Amino acid sequence: MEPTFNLEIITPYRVFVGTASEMIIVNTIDGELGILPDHEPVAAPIVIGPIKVKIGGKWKNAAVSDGILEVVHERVTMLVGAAEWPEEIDVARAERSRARALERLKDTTVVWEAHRAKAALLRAETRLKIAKGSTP
Amino acid sequence: MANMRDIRLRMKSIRQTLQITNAMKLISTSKLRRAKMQLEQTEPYFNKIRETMGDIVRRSQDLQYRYFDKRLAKPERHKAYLVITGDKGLAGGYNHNIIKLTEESCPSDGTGFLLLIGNIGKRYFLRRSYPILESFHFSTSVPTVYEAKEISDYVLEQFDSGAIDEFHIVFTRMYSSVKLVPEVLKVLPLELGDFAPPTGKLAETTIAYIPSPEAVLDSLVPKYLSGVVYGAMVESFASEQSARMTAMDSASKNAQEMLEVLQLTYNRARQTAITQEVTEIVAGAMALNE
Repeated sequence: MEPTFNLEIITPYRVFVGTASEMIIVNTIDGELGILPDHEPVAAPIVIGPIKVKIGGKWKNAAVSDGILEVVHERVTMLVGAAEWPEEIDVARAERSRARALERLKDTTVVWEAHRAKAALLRAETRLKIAKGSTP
Repeated sequence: MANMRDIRLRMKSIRQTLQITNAMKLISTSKLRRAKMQLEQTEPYFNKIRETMGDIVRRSQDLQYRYFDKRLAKPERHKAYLVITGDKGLAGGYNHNIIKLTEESCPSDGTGFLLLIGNIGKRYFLRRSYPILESFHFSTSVPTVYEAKEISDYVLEQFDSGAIDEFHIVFTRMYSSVKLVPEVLKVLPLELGDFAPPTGKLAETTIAYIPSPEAVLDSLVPKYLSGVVYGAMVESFASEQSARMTAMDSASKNAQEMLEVLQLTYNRARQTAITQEVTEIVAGAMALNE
């Protein structure tokens, strides 16, 4: 039995994960961060992208939107706007929002609109990547 | 017999109204239940965000963070009020209380701005002297996190650009289904006192913030704010439904009482009419016999 920590991934709509986990790899704004048991206490912002979690000896991929990660006392808490397993992703919807974001990126001249479109594009591409099963 | 007919018509119309009030009551009940459920689902997320923010803020007392800036140096401080009303009336004093509280708390000398959610408030304040910064229109169903985020992003933008220096929310807090209290909640600038200090084991740990406490706060504040806005929206929504439920309940009761009284009057009128007819027939028969 590998050592584990308590992992909680919480979105506004549900508790996405609430179980023991052996390892998690996330994307922070400074790059990838892997967390093993006995990690030092840390808090870091998370960017939109894929994550990898090892639960019960098996690696699982998931798509998350931006949020925050906190590690305190063998408890890892992730607060994100949205999180999905590969099988939950609506591929058609992701394709549509990808096309929409690209369209908007091309047209817009307003800075904040471009920001939003970029974020939407990133979310859609992450979802598609995860849904198609490629590893992060 | 005009009297009997009048009463019958009146009873018919009351019965129709009763059907409407009854239906509205049932709808409100189910909407209230849904709102409560949704609030419960989102609670862990926003509570945790609040906790983490409090944690950072308490640990770094000397933090000079822009959302704590009270901007006392500015000669004229602009205050924005997010006013949450319903889209429909027939909810007792719900909308009126919010409007009254807004007029009491929002300065009317041009430094107070309004952000409006809900048709009732919009219609009312359009004809008043307050400058309206923005009015949001959403469907009448349970508010979503997405809608709240839209509002909070807008508010943060305005705050960052210096267009507003304070942000308040005027909403209805639901202490119980019968105790609905309109309240003004100050949200921005943030205050240290808003956050509880870390307790127990957590207080002794030092946490590394990657890359810096400010960067972590940067990603937390928008979420915290949208959480506060969302909470206020859902609580207002639940309050509205609850107020409507109570109002419709008493309306239904009143209608039933009126129906009872009218039924009695109707029976009496009918009896009078029958008695009169019998009297007339008897009188006629007696006249024939003579």
